[in-house]
Amino acid sequence: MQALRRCSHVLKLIPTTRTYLTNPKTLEKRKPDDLCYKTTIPSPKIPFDKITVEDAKKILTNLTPEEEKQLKILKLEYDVFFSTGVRVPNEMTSEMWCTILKKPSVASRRRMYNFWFKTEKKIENEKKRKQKKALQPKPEKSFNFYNNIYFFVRETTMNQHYYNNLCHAMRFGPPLLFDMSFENKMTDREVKNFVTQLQYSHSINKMNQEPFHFSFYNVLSEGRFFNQMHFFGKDLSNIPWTVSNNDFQDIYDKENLIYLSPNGARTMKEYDHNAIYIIGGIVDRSEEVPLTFAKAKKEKIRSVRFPLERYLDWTRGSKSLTIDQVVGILLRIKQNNNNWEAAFSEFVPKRKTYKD
Amino acid sequence: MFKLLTGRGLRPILLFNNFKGSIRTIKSDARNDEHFQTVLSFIKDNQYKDIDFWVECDRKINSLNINERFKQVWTNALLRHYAHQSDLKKDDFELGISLYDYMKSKKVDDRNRLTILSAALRLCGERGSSETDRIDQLLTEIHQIADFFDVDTCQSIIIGLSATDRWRDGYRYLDMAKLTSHTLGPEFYSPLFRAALRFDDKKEVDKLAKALHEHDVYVSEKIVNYFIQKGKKWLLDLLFYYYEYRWIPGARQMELIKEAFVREGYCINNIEPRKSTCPCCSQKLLPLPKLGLTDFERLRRSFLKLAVERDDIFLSTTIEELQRFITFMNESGRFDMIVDGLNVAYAAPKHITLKQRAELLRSVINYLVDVRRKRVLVLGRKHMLSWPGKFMDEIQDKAKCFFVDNKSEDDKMTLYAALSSGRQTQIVTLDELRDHKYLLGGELGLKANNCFLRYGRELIKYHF
Repeated sequence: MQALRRCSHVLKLIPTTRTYLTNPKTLEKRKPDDLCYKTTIPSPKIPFDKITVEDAKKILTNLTPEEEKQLKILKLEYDVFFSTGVRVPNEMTSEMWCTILKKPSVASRRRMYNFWFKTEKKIENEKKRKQKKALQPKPEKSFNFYNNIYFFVRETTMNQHYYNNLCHAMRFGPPLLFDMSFENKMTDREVKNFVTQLQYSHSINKMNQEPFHFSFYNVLSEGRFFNQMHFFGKDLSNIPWTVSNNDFQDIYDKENLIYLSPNGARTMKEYDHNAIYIIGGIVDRSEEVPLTFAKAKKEKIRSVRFPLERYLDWTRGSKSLTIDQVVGILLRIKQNNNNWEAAFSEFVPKRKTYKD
Repeated sequence: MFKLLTGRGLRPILLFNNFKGSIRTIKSDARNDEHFQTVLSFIKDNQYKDIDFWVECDRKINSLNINERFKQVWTNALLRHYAHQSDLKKDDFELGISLYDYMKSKKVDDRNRLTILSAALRLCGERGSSETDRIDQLLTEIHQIADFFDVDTCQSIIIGLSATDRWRDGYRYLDMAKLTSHTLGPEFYSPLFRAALRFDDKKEVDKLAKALHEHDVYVSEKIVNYFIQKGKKWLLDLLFYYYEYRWIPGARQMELIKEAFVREGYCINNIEPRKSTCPCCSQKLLPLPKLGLTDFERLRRSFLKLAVERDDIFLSTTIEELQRFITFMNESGRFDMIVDGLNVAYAAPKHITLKQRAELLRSVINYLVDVRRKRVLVLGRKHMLSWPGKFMDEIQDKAKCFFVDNKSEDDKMTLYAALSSGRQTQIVTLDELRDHKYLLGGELGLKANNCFLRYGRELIKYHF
């Protein structure tokens, strides 16, 4: 069954006719420097959160006398937590002490200890589960992958088709701009959540017949976004994206741009093939502040929101959707000739429209 | 001396919050564990128990099918359960002491020793001045482990010291606790209050109240109870501190103070806000201190400068709209009253139609203009222009109107208009406008909060 599914999927991708409805004038100003990601900037080796063993030793030997006092007190605090039953890991390494030193308050330290306790228990429970599973008898293979009529398609061939489409989109297709200038207002956890949402949106995008070309602007080369994007599976140089420090307004005219935000001025009725859409690179878990709308007002770009109230009975939840949902909805509308109901039913989570 | 503001109809902002509950502490210890209740079920009589009883308890719990962490930790959790009670009784104290004697006899790591000693210190400190010998012994043992302690042990040491004569050493441990946490709650200050009140030391109590004010700490129920237990003289001093430092007590605290006065033989009448004399003895009452002219000028200058020059303007409005509003204000002059149109119209219950809301607004503005003879400004949004014409025409004839985009907020404009019009303008909203406190600062510094609160008392609120 799996091979059958893969076959039919690949057959759909082989293009018979390719039509891009973007205005070629918007693509004329694209310079070759912006098209491909250059390897002049060295790729980071460590995620920004983690500290290596050697760095930790250096930090712990070069402490100021105030920090040494604080370290001693924190070790006492750890002992007190351990003996009173607070959720605290069994072993503490030198890297963990370095991260705990930076935390300002008791509550933030407790949350960090709780997180490490949970990861320890997860690893222990997974080991037990694997040991249990090894004792049980293995089920027989239901499908024989060799000596079969059906054409077995491997993942590498599928990826070759996908990346072929993406490279074609890079040269001729419509771009989707990501505005990454909001890095200062996001916490570490939100940055990581943004990158996981990017993973999903990348997979949705590449499997489509006419994908977007993702281009990221206002990225800081020593920032957290750039650091984290390298660590989600593959090196950034293998993926056909554009990642640049410049502003997107240097390249594209304001007349052609449309900014998508949950607080937009007007509701969207149909997909405009002559325009280029912008998504703000924000994950707001903490506060709902209209940052993208403020930026659109400042730069005098048209701002637009999805017609959620018109097609859905909203019961609970915030009306700001995640990035993979937005990308999926845009792709569906482009193909289906503005069939909003089908796009929303596929991508908007059901818990937001759930009725008892 | 103190104005209790209650009344009907048009009433100013109530002086006390309606927050009647106590702040719940999150117990993430083993006390919050599901198996802790089984431990409590073994102990039925609240009397002093021998070591044999605790040995049996230990054996019973080790035989149960529970995770091992809890088996190592249940004694500490029980001790803390007795030590952290607010009103410690004699029976619980004796139970705790018996547990402590049992745990001393066992061999224990340095890790567990700290927690046992700190919990025992807390127990003895809450009990009172009859346990000074034990407290001295515990303190010497604690200092053998380390010189600098963390937040929990510092708190328990302060409680222990407050029962003895050398309670002033508690200040040292307060500073020690600030090394690892930037804010401290009122649980650190309440034992110091208790000790200072026990010795009837007025200077120290003044010092402590000032420290509470400087570090922005709220007054907890415990502190109020300590004052009440002392008597009438200290109660009046408490109320004086409320007046001087502009503290706003909760409803529960006011009830406790009221009951305390009733026990002393006073009768309490509710005073109407506009009368300035007491109904019983016809003495003049001290009014609440209003904003002085100099403070108001500073508020005005800092707000007008900061509101216009910030980068966050686009989060609520645009530059063009603000400038349009500023030219409008310069042309139109000063106002007596500023009405937040949407807030007043939508303050009514939900099942009212749009027509009735417009009628509400019209009636409010008719009252202010015809009866009170005031010059009124109405702020709203552009969709209000599409409300029924007969009401909106009358509003626009009697009062000046300014309408803002449908997507932008008008809070800054109300404050700008009120502060630039002068000292005696008033704003009509149900909104407390606390979001805009961050715009002040600079010249005012630490006083910004108080100035804004005092200014906010002059707002009018309508009650439906």
